[in-house]
Amino acid sequence: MQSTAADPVSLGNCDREPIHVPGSIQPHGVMLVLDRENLQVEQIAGDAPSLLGIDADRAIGLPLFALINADAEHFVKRHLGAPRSVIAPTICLGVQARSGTAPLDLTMSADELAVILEIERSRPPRAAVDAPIVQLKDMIAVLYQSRSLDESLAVTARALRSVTGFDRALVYRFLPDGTGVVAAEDVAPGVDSYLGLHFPASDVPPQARALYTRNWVRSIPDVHYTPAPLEPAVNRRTRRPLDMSACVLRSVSPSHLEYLGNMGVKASSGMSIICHGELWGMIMLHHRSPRYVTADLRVAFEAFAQAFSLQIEVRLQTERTNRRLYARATREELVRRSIASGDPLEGLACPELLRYVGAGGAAVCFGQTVRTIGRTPDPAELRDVISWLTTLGRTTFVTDQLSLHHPPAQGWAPVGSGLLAVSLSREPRDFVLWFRPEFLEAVSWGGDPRRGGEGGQRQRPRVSFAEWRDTQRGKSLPWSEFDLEAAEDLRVVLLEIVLHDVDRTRLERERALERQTVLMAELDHRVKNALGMIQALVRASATEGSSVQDFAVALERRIQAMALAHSLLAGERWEGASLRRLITEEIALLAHDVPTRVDLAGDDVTLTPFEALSLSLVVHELVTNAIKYGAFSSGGGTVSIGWSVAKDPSRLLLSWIERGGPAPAAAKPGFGMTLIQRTVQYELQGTANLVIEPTGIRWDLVVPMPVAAP
Amino acid sequence: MMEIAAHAPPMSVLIVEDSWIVLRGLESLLGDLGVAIMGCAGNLPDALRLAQTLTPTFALVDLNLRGQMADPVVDCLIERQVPVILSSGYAREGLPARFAQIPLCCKPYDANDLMNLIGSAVKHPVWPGVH
Repeated sequence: MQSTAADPVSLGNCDREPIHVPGSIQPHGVMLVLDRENLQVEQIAGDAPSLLGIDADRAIGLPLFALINADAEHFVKRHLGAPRSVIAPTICLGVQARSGTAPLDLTMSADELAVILEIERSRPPRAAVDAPIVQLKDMIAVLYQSRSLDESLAVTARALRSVTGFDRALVYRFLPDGTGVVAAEDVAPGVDSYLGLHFPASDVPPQARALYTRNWVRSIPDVHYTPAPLEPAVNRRTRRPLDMSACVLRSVSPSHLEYLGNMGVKASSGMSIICHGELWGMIMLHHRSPRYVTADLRVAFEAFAQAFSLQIEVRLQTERTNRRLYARATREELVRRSIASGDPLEGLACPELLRYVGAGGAAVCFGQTVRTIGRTPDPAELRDVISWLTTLGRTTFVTDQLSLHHPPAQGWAPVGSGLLAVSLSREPRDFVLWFRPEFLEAVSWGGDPRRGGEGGQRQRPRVSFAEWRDTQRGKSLPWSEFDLEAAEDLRVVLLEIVLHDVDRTRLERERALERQTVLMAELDHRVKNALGMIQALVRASATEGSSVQDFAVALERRIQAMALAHSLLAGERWEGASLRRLITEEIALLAHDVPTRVDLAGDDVTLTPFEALSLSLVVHELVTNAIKYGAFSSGGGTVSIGWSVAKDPSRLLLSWIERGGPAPAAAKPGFGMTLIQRTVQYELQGTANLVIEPTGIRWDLVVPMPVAAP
Repeated sequence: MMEIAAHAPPMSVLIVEDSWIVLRGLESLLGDLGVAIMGCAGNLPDALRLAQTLTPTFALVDLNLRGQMADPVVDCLIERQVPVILSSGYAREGLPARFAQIPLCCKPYDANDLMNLIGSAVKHPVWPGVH
């Protein structure tokens, strides 16, 4: 974890620190930069006298074999012979310096121009049981003992600490918003626990994340070190500072050291957890006194980190599948309850509804009834947020910071910073609302000064926490793609239930249960067909609109017209729709903000679903044209709509007569007019005639009706 | 988009679709792909009449025509060896089993999908039940 402790004023000063070119190393080892061609030393850093038995300045210009025995040169040359120019770090154990006695481990990496050799003392010979390969085997073995992701993180922390002897082993997991949480931990007696604590995203700045995505293992044997500069700082041949991204001796950011120091950590080692190419998390090892991780153990760490990452990938995949299965099971349970009780929304406000999307509270609002579960805003606040949502006119609304969109929400931020809302019907007041509490309050933050208490400094890795915290006010944990998907799925299912909840009888309830599967398939079919229509409308609207704005408005209204017909039909279980309601609701929908005078004359007629769908589009265009050019455009006009059913052959006669509007211009055949005429001809095998009279336009529609109205 | 038209003789299509709006969208989509509209029908009798008389390069048939299944139209086209692409809001499972081998274009249409389906339907037509 990187910190901002060095500069309490700025939260962002770590972001720009070039941590891959520090120009110095940790002094427990020696770094040699060699010319790739002749293996002569060009740059050197670290404790050359004790490891190599030579002063640093005397080593410059010497060939490698003059410093270390022939094993080293063979090792380097063998790897340089590989067909690639960039060589990832690779180790050679137990070589001897020409003028030293201790065995040394080499870590070699290379690019097109230079070879970097990192030299460290070998681990002292010990019992075979301590050999890294045995340790690795022990670590990997535990991966296959766990059944869930959480369990696998927990056993990993335990196994790593017991195998390595560090005081603390923790698994740090990044969350979607970049903050992190200690997801698993194992500590020695008397060591502070960080389990469950969250940390701000700035604790691991972007360039550190980038670096951790490129290499698997990091190690700081002693945080109180004095950096050893690379001499000379710039390579005379390549003329660039050395990129130490791949180097284990790389000196780390002073603020990172301070951060560790503030936590009482004297030595640290870390492994990356990389899933699908992204840094998913980190394993961190901490010790209260200096602790050295030898080169061979680092190789074991690297192998383990890779195996662990793969394991996590598989677990995540399983988790996703399980999550979908769980959502489906919960949905079925919620639907079952809804259908079994007389009131479709009765029984929805249950704990399953909260768990369904991971919410802290939920409200089911249907008509005047509001049922809540968990922690929600109070009834007055709920009514307030519902009427605000109604003005949005959206089927789904999601935010992790409600007060940005709806300022009164500041007042209930602790319980409802996040809102996921789905509307249950065309009636805009019917919603399911899920609330998430303020993230700051919902979780414990590492470094929160408020939870310091005795010995607080050790709980406070940084001093700028308060400032960061203020930027997080009023935010909840973000809703995931799964939450949205689950909410949308539930919306579709509830929509069907709500719309079918008219005069339900016991018999119908039983039938509904049996038909659930069929209904879902039907609904899916209708939705797909509706999408097909919408797609075609997009194409059509694109050609007529003069601006993007016009296009969007025209499209949205046509889709609304279609949705209206769909909901009328759904209300009648797709058995038919009332012509009178279709006309009046279409006018109410489109002309709600203009004064309209409408005369309706005719006995109600029940339309078949297909007639209703076709006529809804036709009526929609009639109303739109009246608003744009005709009787509804001036305020003084009237539309008389009359219909009757004639016999032999059975047909519907419908007239639409506008009077009192502006004098009609000669009809210019726009898309609306074409749509009216072609839809009636093509879909209804009828005719639509436009007559332009001085008082206004008149449409006469004749539609064959196979079955006469009752 | 013009690949089909550039490398092959011009293609023609019979469209069976009950929504005028969707038909209009299809006409424009297929027009972009370089396919000429030979005929279109929005109800079962019209569709049957055209299926018996027209010989387009292929036919695009919505199986559900105002609540009536267009199976006889498909059977007639297969009989006359006109390649068929089914279009439907139903998933494959909702279709008659004997049409299992016929390419299916799910609504809403994707221009690329449609182009690929046309290509394969015309090159490797499937005529189940015709021996």
